[in-house]
Amino acid sequence: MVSLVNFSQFVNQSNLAKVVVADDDQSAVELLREAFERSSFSCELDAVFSGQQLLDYLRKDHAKDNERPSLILLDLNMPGKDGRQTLSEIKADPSLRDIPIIVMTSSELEEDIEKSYQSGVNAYLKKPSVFADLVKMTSAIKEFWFGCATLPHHPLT
Amino acid sequence: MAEKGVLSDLRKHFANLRLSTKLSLSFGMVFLAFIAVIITASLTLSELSLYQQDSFVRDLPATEGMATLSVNMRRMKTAVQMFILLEDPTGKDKAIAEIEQVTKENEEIVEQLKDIFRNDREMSDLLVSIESRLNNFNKRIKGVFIPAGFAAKDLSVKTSALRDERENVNQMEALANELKELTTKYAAGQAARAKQQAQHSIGVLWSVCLLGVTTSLALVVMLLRMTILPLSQLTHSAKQLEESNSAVLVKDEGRTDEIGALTRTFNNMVKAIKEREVERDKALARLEVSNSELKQFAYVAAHDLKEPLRTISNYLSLLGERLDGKLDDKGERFWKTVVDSSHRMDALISGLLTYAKLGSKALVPQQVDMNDVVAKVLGDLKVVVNESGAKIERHNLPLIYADGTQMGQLVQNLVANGIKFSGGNTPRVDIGANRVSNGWMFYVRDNGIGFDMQFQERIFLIFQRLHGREEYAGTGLGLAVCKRIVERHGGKIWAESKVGEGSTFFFTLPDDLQSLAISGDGHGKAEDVENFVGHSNTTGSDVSVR
Repeated sequence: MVSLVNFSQFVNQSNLAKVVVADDDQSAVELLREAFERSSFSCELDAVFSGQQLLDYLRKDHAKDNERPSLILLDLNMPGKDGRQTLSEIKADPSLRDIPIIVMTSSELEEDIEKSYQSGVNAYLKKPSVFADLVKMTSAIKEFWFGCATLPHHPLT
Repeated sequence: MAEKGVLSDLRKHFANLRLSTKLSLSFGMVFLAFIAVIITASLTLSELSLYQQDSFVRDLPATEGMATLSVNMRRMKTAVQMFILLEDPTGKDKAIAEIEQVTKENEEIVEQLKDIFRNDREMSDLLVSIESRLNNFNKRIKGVFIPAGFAAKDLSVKTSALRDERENVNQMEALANELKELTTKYAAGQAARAKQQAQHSIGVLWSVCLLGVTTSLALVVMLLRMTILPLSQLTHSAKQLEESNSAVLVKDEGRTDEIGALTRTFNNMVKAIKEREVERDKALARLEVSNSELKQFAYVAAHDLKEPLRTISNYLSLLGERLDGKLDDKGERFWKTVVDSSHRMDALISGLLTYAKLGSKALVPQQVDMNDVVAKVLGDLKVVVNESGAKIERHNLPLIYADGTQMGQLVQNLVANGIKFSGGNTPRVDIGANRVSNGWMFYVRDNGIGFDMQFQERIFLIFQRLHGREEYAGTGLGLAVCKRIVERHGGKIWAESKVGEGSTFFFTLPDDLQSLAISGDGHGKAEDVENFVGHSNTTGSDVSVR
C-alpha cells in the first residue's frame, strides 16, 4: 500500500516525506492517492483504516524516529475508535503529540470543528465533492507543509 | 370508661349520618330542647298557680278556723264567768245558751279543720288532742259546773266554785293562746312552703333551660367540627394543589356522609392528577427523545447519504477524463444526465443538511445591524444582481438581537428568490422594516411572477416547488430554511402575493431575544426561544400589512 512517487528534492527513497492517512473508506484513500499523484506530491502515503490501527501504527510499527510520519491525515467518522477519540489520545501522548494532524472529514458539525481545533489539530478540511477541488487541496497541503513549514523530526533537518 | 365508649360510639354513629340527616337531627334536637323548655316553664307556672289556689282553698279557712277557735275559747271563758256571777236565772240561761252556742261552733270548726288536714298527719294529731281537750271542758261544764252553779245561791259558795273553776278557765285561756300562736305559726309555715315551692319550680326551669342550651351548643359544635373542619382541610389541600401540584391527601376517617364522599372523591382526584402528571411527564420525555432523534436522524441521514455521493461524483470526474472523446452522442447525453443528477442530488442533500443543522444547533442571539447583514448579502449576490440587472432598494433597517449568520441566510434566500422569480422583467426588490408591538416586522417585496395564494402555506414546506426545474432551478429548500430560521428566533414568516403582480414576504422578530443574548449559555437560549414561538405567533396576527 505504499506509493512511491519521485519528488525532485528528495535524493533517495528513505528520505521521502511520510504521510499517514486514517480513513475507513477505501475509495476515499484511493481518491486521495490519485489526487496526490495529480498534484505531484511525491511522498510515502501509508493508509490505516481505523483509529486503533493508527495508534498501533504510531506506537508500534513506526515508533522509531526515522520511521515516524511527518503528517497525519485523520478522518473523524470511523467505526470503533473514531477520529475524535484517536485525536485526543494522540494529543495526550507526549511522544506523539508533536506530529501535525490535519482532519479531513465529511462532518460539517460546528461542534466537530471547534473541538478538533481545541484538541490541537493543525487544520480542519472538509472533503470536497469535486475531484478537482481535492487535487487543489492536496497541492495546497504539499505547498504549505512540505514547502513553507518546518516540521519536527523531519528527515532532512 | 363505659360512658366514654358510648359517647364515642354515638359520635361515630352521628358522623356516619348523611349531612342532611345530621343537619335535620341537629335542628330537631335544638327544636326539642326549645319545646322542652317551654313545656317545663308552663308546667312550673301551672304548678305554682295550683299551689296558690290550693293555699287559698285550704290555708285561709284553716287559719280562719283556728283564729275563731281561739276567740271562742275567750267567749267560753267569759260565758262561764258570767254564769257563775249572775243571780238572775235569765242571765244564767243566756250564759248557758252562749256556752252551748260556742261548744257547737267549736265542734263544727274542729270537724272542718279535720277535713282540711285529713292528709296532714301532724295537724290531724294536733286537732285530735285539741278536740279531746275541748270535750273535757264540755264534759266538765255540763256535768260539774252548771249543776253546781244552779245549786248554790250563796255568794261565798259561788266564789269558791269560781275559784275551783279558775284553773279550768285558765286552761281555756291557755288553749286560746296556744291556738292563736298555732295560727300565726301555720300561716308563716305556709308562706315558707310557698316560697320553697316557687324556688323549686324555678330551679327545675333553670335546669331544663341549661340542659337544652348545652345540648344545642354541643350539637352545633359537633356539627361544625364535623363539617366545617374537613371542608377547610379540603380547601387547604385544594389550594396546595393549585399552587404546587403537591396536595396532601385529606383523611376521610371512614365517614359515609357527603363530606366523606367529597373527601374520597377529592383524594381520588389528587391521585388521578398525580398519575396523569407522571404519565404526561413520561410522554413529554418520550416526545423529547423522539424529537431529538428525529432532528438527529435528518442530519445523520443527510450526512451519510452525502458520503457515497461524494465518492460517486469524484469517481465520475475521474471516469469522465478517461471517457473523454470515447463516447458517441447518445453516450455523451447519458453521461451528462448522470453527472447532472449527481450534482442535483448533492445540492439537495447539502440543503437538507443545512436545514437539519438549523434544528440541531443552539441559537446564540447577538446584536446585529440588519443594514450590515443586507449589505453583505448584496455583496455575496453581486454576480446574480449584475447579471439580472436587478434594482435593490434598501430602506433603513433596525439593530436587532439575532443569529447574524442565520439572518444573512434568511435575507439572502428571500432576495435571491425575488431576483430568480422575476419572470423576464427587470427585477426590483424592496427591503424594509416596520416597528410592531413586540418587535420588528421585515418585508422583502419583489415585482416578479408572484404565486397563487392557495399555495401560501405550501411554499414554506421542505422540497415543495411550484415550478418545474427546467423553468426555475432550485431544491425547494430555500423558504423552508427561512421558515425554520424565523421560527427558531420566535418569529413568524408569511407571504402575500398575486399571480403576475409580485410577492411580498414578511417576517417578524421579537424583542425578547435581547434578554437571551445577555445571559446564560447557548443551549438554554435555544430552548427559551422555542418556548415563545407560540407567544409571538399569536401576536403576529395583529401585525398590520400594507
